[in-house]
Amino acid sequence: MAGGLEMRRGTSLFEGVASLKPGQDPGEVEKLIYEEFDRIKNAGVTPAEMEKIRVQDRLQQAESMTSTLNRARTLGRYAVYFHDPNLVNTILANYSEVKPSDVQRVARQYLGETRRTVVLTVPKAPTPGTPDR
Amino acid sequence: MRIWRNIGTFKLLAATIGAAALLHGVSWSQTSPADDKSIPASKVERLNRAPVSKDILRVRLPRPVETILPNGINVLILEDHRFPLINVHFEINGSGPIYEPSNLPGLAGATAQQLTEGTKTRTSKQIAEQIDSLGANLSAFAPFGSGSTVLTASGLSDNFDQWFALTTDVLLHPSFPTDELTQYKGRAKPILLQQRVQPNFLANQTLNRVLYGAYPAAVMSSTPESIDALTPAMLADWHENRYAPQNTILAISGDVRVSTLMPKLRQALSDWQKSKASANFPASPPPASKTKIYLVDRPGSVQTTLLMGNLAIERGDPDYPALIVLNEVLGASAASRLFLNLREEKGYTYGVYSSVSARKYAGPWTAGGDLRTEVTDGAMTEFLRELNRIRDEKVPDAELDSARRSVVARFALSLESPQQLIGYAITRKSYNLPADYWDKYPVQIAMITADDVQRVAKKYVDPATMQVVAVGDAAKIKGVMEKYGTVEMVDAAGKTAGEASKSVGGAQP
Repeated sequence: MAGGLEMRRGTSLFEGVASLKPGQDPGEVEKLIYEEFDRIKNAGVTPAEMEKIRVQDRLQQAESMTSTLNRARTLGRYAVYFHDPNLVNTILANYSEVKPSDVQRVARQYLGETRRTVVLTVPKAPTPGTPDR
Repeated sequence: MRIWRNIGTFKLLAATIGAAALLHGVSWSQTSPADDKSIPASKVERLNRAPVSKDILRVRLPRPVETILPNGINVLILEDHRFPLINVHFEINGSGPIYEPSNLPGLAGATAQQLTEGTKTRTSKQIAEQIDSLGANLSAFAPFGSGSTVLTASGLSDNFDQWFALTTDVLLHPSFPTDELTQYKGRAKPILLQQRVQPNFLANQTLNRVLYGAYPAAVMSSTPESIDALTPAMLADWHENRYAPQNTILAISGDVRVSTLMPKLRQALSDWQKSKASANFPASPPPASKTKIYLVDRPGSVQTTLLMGNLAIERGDPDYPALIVLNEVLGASAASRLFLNLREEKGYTYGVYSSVSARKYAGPWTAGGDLRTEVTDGAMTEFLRELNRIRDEKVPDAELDSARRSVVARFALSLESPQQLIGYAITRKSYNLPADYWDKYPVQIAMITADDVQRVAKKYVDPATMQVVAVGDAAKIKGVMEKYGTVEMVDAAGKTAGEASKSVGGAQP
């Protein structure tokens, strides 16, 4: 499964998407996801996890900058969204100032039960004669 | 911008977004022919007034440093310090599916995939966790039709030593754990079933089988029997005997220094011993000499997937640039003849394309696409019209010019990517092309004339000898296809009726 948020000027959604193997119980998976939310809210994140995220961010940033089109797109987006095209040079430093306590704080603030919308997309019952998936 | 992060084993999101975009495109385009208010392509007057430079692109690609290690590994290193990134690519020739025993299709792919599932000192989970925490990527694959296994790794330059140590560990000391192979088998079998309901796979599988016959490039997938038969010992043997340093190209590009990297490579790879494995290819089979139609029945299918073609050239053939230009005119893009005719003008399809594939053995030219069932006949007529037109008439200057420019412009744009640059170096090395091959490539393309295109069209693209595959509702299209040649029915395993009855006796195909 994957999750994340969209960079926007206005309010953005934090989304998570899980695709289940056939036969798995969506309710069980949903419960496991909330347990992970609770783990961050209650226990926070470890310095090793923070370091992993920083390394991955650096790699992602460097890889996206190898394309001329992406450099232009990123400069444009930072200029339009934040009036600061120079973010292209400083955004990683901004991220590096995020502390484990900040992560715990926003998890408590945004990942609450009353703020979420859950969509379940379930396949139709198979028609007889079609091959097994 | 989406800042998505994979937090599990499935990297589905990008695929989901891509599929959503594609589906959107499909639904839009399929409604358009019905209430079409656009102007047919034949009524469009192309004024060609866009300001386009007539200059031929001059490039000189950065040349990698080339060395051969004592155990025979061909090393290519391309320094590129613009970004703090390094890419590593092992091309292990002689270990791809081309060399598999005929009763074990999929052995090479399973071996490659299992490299990262355990080494003598690391479990599958440890490898995955370490790669993840280093922010690196590591994967190995050996696709059907290929003579090689590819192991690639990439990551940041400041923790290169750590992720490169993992890379060489999986390459040299895989342990092929039994439980990991069991899991692999469990995943591989449903994939086989899924492939066999996909019309594109069925079309490609059938065309491959009829063009290549007994040649190993005919094989496009495992079988349930071959998956069941795999054992850890078979994978270990394949690795031991087929992964040979003297057949390997190691290409490294990015933020590295040759002077500090070379001693690391010598140290990390010195234990890898030469073996007797050969990376020679069997001689290419000849092209088919008489057209035949193969029909795969998919009852209730609303589309017919058509795929036609014949064997053409090996990659080193001097006709390669002319065929690339031919393909651009015929069907490489949405500005090519097949697309403009069958989609834009006739509204038969979402898209039809042609391709030219050339490897160490002769690859085919192909043309095809998904057509609404009721226009199967019309589509065949138009495919034949376009294939004959490119043989019988010289390509007009403006069209030829635009095709050549598209090929060169796409090449030019690809040069910004460090990975693509080293990719070109690997291609040059793999096919023994001259050192300045890519420098001269744009000029070679720009020099192709209308006579050249017509000559290679007449030589290779022949409707009288091509093989045609149709995947669709046989009850509706069998009669149609019989207008174009003798029709033979093929099953979902790619076998003709005769072959299928033979294998009932238990003999391997």
